[in-house]
Amino acid sequence: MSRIAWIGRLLVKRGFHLLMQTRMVMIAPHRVVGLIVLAAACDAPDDRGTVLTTATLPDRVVMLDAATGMVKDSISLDPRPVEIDEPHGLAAAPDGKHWYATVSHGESTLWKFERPSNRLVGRVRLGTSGAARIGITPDSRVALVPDYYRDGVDRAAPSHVAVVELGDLAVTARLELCPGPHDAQVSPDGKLAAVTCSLSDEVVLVDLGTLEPVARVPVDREREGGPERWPRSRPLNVVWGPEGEYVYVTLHLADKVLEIGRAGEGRTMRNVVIGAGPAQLALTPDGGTLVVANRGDGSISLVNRPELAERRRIDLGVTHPHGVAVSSDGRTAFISYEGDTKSDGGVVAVDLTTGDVIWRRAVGQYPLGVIYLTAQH
Amino acid sequence: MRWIRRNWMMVPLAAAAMVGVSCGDGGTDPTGAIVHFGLGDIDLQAGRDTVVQISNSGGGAIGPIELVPLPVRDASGNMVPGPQLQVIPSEIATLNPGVSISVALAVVAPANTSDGEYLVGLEARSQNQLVASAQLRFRVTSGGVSPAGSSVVITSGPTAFIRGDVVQFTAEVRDSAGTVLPNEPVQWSVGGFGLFDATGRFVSYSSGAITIIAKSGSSADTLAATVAERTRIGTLSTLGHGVVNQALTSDLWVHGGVMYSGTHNGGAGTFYAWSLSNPDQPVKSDSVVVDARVVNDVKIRSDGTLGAITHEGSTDLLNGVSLVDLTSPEHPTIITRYTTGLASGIHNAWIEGNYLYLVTDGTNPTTGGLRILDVSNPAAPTQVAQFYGGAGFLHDVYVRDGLAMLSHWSEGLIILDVGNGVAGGSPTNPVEVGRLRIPGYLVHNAWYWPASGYVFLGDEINAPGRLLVIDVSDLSNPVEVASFSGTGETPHNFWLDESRGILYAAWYGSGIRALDVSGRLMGELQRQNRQIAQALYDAGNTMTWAPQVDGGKIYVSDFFTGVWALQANF
Repeated sequence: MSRIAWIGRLLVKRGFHLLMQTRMVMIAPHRVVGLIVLAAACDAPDDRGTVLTTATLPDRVVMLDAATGMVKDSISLDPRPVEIDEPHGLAAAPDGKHWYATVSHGESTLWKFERPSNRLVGRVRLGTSGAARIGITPDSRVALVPDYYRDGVDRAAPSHVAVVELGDLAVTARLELCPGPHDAQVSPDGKLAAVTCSLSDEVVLVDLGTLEPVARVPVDREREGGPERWPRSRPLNVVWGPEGEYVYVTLHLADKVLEIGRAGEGRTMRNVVIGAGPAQLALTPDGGTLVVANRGDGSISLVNRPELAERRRIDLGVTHPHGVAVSSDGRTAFISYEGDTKSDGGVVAVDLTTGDVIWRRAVGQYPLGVIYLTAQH
Repeated sequence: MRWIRRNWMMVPLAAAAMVGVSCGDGGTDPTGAIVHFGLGDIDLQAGRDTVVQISNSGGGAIGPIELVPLPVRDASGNMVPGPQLQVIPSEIATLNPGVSISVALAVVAPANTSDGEYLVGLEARSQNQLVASAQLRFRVTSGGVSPAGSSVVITSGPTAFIRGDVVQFTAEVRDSAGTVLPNEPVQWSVGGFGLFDATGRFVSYSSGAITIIAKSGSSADTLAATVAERTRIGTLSTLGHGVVNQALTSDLWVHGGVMYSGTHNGGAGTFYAWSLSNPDQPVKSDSVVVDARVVNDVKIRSDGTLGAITHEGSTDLLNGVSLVDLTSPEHPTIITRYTTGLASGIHNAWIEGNYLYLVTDGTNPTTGGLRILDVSNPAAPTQVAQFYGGAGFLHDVYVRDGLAMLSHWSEGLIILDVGNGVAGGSPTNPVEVGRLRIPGYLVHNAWYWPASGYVFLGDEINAPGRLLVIDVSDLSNPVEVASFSGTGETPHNFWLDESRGILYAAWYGSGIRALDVSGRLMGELQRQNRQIAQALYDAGNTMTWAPQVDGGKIYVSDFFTGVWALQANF
């Protein structure tokens, strides 16, 4: 067998049985890549929104019908067949024209896809030690990509947040803010970015006009346990409140969501204890609910934002929930889950009103990022 | 254009008419991007380099665009090892409609490049699809003009030899008074198929009668020679198959009658031991499970007491490497797992004495791609050194005779002294002694053969696959001397049977190839009848990952089906 059907064969061997049809597209005289499409869904109108998730070991972005969880398409993020390139983060540009993905291994890269064709139109080498999540300014012109270089705590290796001008895909700066930055999200007014520093237990607020840090907010360093110099709370991900007055941060080792005020130099306001090992979080469009994926116990927490109180915890019945996206109507949350070394991961859709699992779809090994794209985009 | 030969430098003497670039038609992307090289902007200026524009005159963006130089060819179409077309940038992130970007081109040629005219192609590829191409022509001349009345005579060289053997011819140039002109260059050519370098070394690509031609100015001499066919051919037959189900198989290592193999996707972090009590039939004797989605590499120390298995995609996010106790070889046990500073994942490894060399995923200018651990106490490894090549990323490491050969992807082959003594290096203080960057070639793996002074390189990305032979007899100045091109697939890992001069190259879906690499090597090996055998041991299902020769058998790991025992019939 040549590599003509390489990826398809690999996925079939891995039990990727949901993918019913392999469509081969000749892309070079000597190289063929398989695009894997679910036959039944191919001709369906794209009127219900789409959920995208990164399947890290197959090095693909899998596209799911938001209503049914059926696999609609799958896109390769695999510049090095056979090698593990590890796609990680996903983000949709606010203007709806593009979506982006990061690949962290080999040379870390940011990939740019056009909507609605989902056609790759660019890829830039970030020149950083890895690539995790993606924050985009409200005008869709600039992205921030932290490298999440997790060895920094032991070796004092520099970590960076890449600043990318998205029109020409040019890296304009690499900010050395702290060890192991994982997430960098931009305030609604586009003036500040909040960067989570996973290895130094702090959140850094960066002025996007000067690209200088304006505040370093220590978070929950009093928690005990873990090796010396190892982070105590490990802030992983961040989301801004709708008015941009607060940011909400998951503390992965402290099982909390923390609220930090923007005023002054930033200060810790409140926190709430939730499920174990929170990873990503997302805010419903009305700003009322934080949806948090609890990697440690397989649940999600629904947190009333005004009171910062956990309203409900829902056991998803999956291993290692990781990413969170919310539909544009605020009714459904889409949770990516990693699985483990023995099982595939995928995406779970949860009705945020009833708490019911609407659908669950395994897509391959080690999914991480997840986004929801409206049908209008 | 005229060039003075200097070692890996080009010095233009004068702009000349023989330099030019022709451009192919632009390619049209499905959404309307039209990419082309700007013909009007192509000018080699002083003759050493040029700048060309690449433009998108269509209606849609396209990217990324890789700018890939092809191998240099002489006027006869022969691939010529050594000369390179360097391209900066090598990749364009995105090319928006109406945008043009400048691309700098420069040709470099080693000292032994023969005089003549050469062609080199430049391809612009987007998502592996050719979207534009250009052809650069350049001329190498050695300077000097032969005096009037001078003559050339072939003074030595064989008249009978074997296809693929590298042979030496010499000639003398004399002036009209009969005085030998020792510095006067000789232009060598052949009436037949083969490749000369500037020093008169020759390799024939055909058998039968050929004519060797030496020229100097208007004078020429010829020598008739007969080339015998290279007849080292045979077969590889299948002896046995060790089945791995529901998992993809990665690397293997054989030692002391036991084979060890790792697992890729679906393997749940499993590391297998296989009894070779019957060398023809591997039988699973035990397995060990670690926290990893991929155990990409397996290495065993030469004394057989210690192993290392790599972790990628662990659920605890720490990855690292596990050290393996082989006191009972068929029943390995984990001594310890070391993760400090290795959380990004370990892709490849090598054990040499008390040192473990690790290739980390992700690169950092401070902590590097290569880590070296002291494992003299395997229960408590300590990191003693690190190295990063400054660009690209490290993919593999091979250590021998105190030299570490780093397969550093786009940055090429990097040679470190880790105890050889040539540069005062040691495992605790690796010192770079040489580097060869090969534009358009992504160095995935390397095998160093000290007795020959060669390093064999593989590139698993660019198809059709091409194996390169690098002469490292001068460690500070590695030089490409030969290549082997295989149709279809690309190479993966190698094993060299040095006693027989046979290189076994895993070639993914093209199976396993046995190549005759005996003697000196030069030019295109596939045109020299140097492939002895090729085996698709599992017809239609073969995906060869890695070979190893042990006890006269050839063992291979196959990505899809497990491990195999093969017999060489040659």
